[in-house]
Amino acid sequence: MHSPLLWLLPVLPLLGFLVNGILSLSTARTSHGPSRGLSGFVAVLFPALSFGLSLWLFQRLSHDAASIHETNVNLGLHLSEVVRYVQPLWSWFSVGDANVGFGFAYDALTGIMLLFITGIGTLIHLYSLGYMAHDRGHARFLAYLSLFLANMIVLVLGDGPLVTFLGWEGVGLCSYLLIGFWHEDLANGAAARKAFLVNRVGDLGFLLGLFFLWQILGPTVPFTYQGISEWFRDPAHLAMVGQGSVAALLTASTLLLFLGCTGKSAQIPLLTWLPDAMAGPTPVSALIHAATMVTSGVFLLGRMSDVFVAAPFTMHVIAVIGAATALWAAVTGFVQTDIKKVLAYSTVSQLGYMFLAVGVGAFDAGLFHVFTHAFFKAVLFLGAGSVIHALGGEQDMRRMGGLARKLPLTFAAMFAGWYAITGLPGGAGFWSKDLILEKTWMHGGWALYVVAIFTAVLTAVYMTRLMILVFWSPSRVDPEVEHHVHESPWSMALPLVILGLGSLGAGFAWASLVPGVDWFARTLAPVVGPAQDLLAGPEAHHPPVALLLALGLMAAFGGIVLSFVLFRSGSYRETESGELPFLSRFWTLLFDHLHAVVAVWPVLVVSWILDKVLNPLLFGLVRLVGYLVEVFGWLFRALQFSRLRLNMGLSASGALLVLLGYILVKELLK
Amino acid sequence: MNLHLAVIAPLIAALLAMFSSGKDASQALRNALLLALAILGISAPLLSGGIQSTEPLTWFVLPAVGTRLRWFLATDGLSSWLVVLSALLVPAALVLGRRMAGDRMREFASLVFLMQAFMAGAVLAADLFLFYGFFEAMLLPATLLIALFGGRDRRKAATLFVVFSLVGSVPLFVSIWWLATLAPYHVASLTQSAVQLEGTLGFTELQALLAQVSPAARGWIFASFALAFLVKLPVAGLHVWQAEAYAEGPAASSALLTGVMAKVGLYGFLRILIPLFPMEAARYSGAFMVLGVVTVLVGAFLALQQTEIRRVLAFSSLSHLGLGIAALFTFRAEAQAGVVLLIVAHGLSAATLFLLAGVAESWMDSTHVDDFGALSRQSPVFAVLFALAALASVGLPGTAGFVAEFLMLLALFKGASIWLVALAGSAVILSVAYTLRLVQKLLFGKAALAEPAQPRDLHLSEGLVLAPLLLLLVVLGFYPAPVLSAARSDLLQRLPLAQAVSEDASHAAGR
Amino acid sequence: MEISIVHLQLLAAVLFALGLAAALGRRNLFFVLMGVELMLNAANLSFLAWSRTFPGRSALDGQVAPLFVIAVAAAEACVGLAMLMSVFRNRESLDTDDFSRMKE
Repeated sequence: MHSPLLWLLPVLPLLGFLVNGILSLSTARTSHGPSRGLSGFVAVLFPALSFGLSLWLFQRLSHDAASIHETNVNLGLHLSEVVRYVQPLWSWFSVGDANVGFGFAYDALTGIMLLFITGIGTLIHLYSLGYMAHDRGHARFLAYLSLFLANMIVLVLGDGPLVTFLGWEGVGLCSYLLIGFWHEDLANGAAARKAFLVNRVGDLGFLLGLFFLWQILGPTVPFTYQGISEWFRDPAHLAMVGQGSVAALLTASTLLLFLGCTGKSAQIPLLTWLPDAMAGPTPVSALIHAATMVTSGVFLLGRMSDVFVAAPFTMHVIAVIGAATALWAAVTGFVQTDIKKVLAYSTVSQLGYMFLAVGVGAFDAGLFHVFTHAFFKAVLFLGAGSVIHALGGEQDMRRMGGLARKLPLTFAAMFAGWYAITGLPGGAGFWSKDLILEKTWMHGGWALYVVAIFTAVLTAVYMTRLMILVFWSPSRVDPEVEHHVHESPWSMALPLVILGLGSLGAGFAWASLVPGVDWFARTLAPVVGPAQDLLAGPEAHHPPVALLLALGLMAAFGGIVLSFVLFRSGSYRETESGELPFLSRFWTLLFDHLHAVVAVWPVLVVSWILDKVLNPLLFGLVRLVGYLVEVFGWLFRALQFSRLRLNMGLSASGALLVLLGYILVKELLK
Repeated sequence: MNLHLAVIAPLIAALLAMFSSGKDASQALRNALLLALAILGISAPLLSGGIQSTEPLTWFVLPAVGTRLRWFLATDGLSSWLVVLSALLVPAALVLGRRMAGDRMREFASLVFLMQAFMAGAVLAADLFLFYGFFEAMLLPATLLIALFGGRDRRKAATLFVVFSLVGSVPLFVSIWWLATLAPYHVASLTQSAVQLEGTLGFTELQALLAQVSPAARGWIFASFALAFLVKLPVAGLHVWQAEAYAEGPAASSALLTGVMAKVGLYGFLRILIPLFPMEAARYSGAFMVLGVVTVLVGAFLALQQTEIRRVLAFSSLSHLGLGIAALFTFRAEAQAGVVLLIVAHGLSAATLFLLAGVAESWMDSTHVDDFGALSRQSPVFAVLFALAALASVGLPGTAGFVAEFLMLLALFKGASIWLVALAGSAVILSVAYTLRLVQKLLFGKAALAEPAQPRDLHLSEGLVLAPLLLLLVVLGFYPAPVLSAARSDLLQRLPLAQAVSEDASHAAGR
Repeated sequence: MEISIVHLQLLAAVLFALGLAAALGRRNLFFVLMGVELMLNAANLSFLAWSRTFPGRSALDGQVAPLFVIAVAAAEACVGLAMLMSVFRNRESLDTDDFSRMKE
């Protein structure tokens, strides 16, 4: 179905970006910058409009889907037809075999992503008004944030992989700009650059993966998600890609695409940038590095589920990498002292869960976790931001404590987030994580399940540790700072409340234990259903639901209890300031070291050699030629006399000699 | 008529700029800017004209040989874009060159116009002799610009530039001369055949002429042509002059050198070398692809190590244009379109970067990156433009550079091997590394030198001449069809020949 | 006595020898230049003399050549004298023996 309105979705925040950008630029000379009211109003208005539009679109989509479903039932058909609004805009480029259009497509997956992207995006714009109120560059900040939103919308709304790639790089750019927002400090700039660079490695993988995919499809298949899906859903094509060289091509393609996802979603091996990205202002961490951008890898896998299920090896790789990342990051989160770093590693770990789910073929469960995680991680970050704001920029948990009474609202919101992430019954994380564990049990084998459940324990441990250190333990706040501790303004509080409620309630979008409450799964079914059915086959046996539920709950409660035992009563090892112990430091920076050895050092060595050896060599060669010319010049000069008259005389006699010789020869030959 | 004007108007402008009244530099700039805009107005209609050519006029007949030298101009989309590109860059070079030229604005403007005229002539010439004349003539104003308006080591840079260019073009001259001696001879032997050679070196006649030449001789001629263009481009190994000329010359000349003159090298491959020597091009395509990818890597690695702004930019140009060579020798339609777009996109972004670098250098009176910092706070408009141009140069999607890079990599993927693509692609990652480092050093961090007493930023006029260039980059990033269709207008008729030959060769090798 | 071609050629040769001697013998650049002029005019004389020996229109060829030479000589004298003055200004000397910078 054609829909003429899709282009408005990204353009609205883009307008916000332009207005705020121009405001910021035109007032750069003034001492206090543009009016906070104006820039704030613009910043919240446009994302909110976008949110309204996506709500309306989603409502229409559900309606259309229901009516089509009804028609099909009436006709006696058992089809789950994809309802898709498309808006092809123009031909991007069309050269040789490369024929790519620029356009948007909107289906259930896009709809769900858009709902929470624009929704949480609007809330975080609102939150930023308070958080950045005292920053000179707040208009610039809001402009970047709006630009990010526009790009993120393009990412999920693109009708083909290349339009997605446009948004994919665009969000990377905004992430770069926002991480390095406080660029006076060069460390922030370095973190931003690292994020961009590491992402670029993934992006190269993305691009190469597309090349391979294109080669499989051939030039006649339109290179849009629709075209790709339909091609792969054709059983004849599926049989073809299952064997021989095409299978190898597909494996290469999907692995490379997955490399792209590991970059954007901070999975092994490209995960080092996300913890560093915490250098950015906290609303950025909440929006970009927790709720939206980092989940775009999972989104892409869901988008291309039909492709990925055709490559079983890649699916295994995804599952294993997801599980390994989840475990590694959970352990790392356990030893951090910076509140944002804990949340960053927690994000990496939760993303690992999502990839694990996708890897075992439960695309909907993975995406569901994306959905719930967006709520509870956003609220955790915003809560952390509120704490940091209240403490005047302090991020070290060793200098916090006892804040539950001083910041009751923040505490309540973070408690909701904590409740959700640890997987306590009824919270958002409870439903989605439980679902992932269940699917892992069913399709992933026991090893992955053990890793996943152990990670769940660890998650509960480090999150509870965070809560203890920040809220429940005796205060270790600097008395000077403690004096000024204050609850945040309403613009920050409102998003906290809404998101806190969301992290308690979002799970009921798909409460798998309650029959009939599966709105999320039903909505997504037309998009990822065929792929999942293909992988899972007809469900032969039911999982031991009760056992799995019990195990999951035991993990959560066990982790919490363990954490209380470790940190509540015992001595606060963390209170000692200073660096982390060597082992934790090594573990934390494991992949940084790996990157250094594998990529950074070789590049530096080679470039050093080229610059200091090869280039001088070439210069030397050039100089050598120059010297040779000079030497010859010197030689020839030595043949000359320095007397002008003598020279002339010699040349005159030479001419005479030539003449005489000529005559002589001529006479002799006669 | 327009074609004649596109070449002659800048020549007239050069004279007018030189002898126009007014010693006052800003008066001279105003005059020159008016002239430049007029030339832009004259050149722009070429874009919509499609393929067109002038009546060939015989200039004179080479004594003793009999070959006719003609004034013969022709254009298709590619040439038109190159002419318009230089017409777009010249106003920017003039306005921003004001900071380097100082009181000698008239001379500066005159040289810039001269350069523009010769570049336009080189890409519009449809006769090999004429092309060679303009190709060589470009050297003169470029060298003078470097030697007169350059930095500390300008003499050395100018010398290196001239010597390298001559090393490239003297063999070219010899082979052109040799071809000229053959041209009338073949008239006699071929009068009966369908091909009517007129004793000229027009490109169409040349194809027929070269078919008569023995393969061994043709190989040598091919090599001499290739060398000339490779030096102009340049590629790794022949790049020694580049960083010196770009870093020591005035920023405006660096912008024109990389923006248009280096592109004439690519143009030479696209328009002259491959169409005229399809067999040789196909035979050595592997070598050229490897050379291109090596250039991409060497340029990127070297750029990582540089500490002077314009040296970073110079090696970045080396790296980006190397990809063009590698892609071109796959003889695929995607590659040609990609290279044409690369010519435009890189011309705009690199020239803008060079010009802005020149401004920053004039502020700080330094070329070393460590002396800069915090320009985004001190000079926000400058920072926005610089960052945009930098992003365009690394090929961020949404700018023209991305489409160009995508098409070239795709062509390499289809026409060469995945490993070459991976290597070239990793240089794309490196390009982000050095470009962002530059951005970071210039725009962010703390100011390394003393803060200026009063705010300083680009003048309004400077912003106004640069902004359209960047806008064009973004527009072409979303809608590159105007440039891509240029690649289709004429080139495709010739290049499939090379592709067919190369496929034959690979079949034969496979057997 | 009729003036024959031989006489004329002898005269030209003598003039040429004188010019050469002046150019080689004198150290003053000014005189060297005059010597060169003399040699040129000797050549002109020779041309004209020979031209008389050719029949009809081809005699004109020999008469045209001196015209060229005169034009070139005039140009040469002009440039040469200008250079002389500039040299004198710079070096305060016109002695050819002082000029050996090319060698150094």
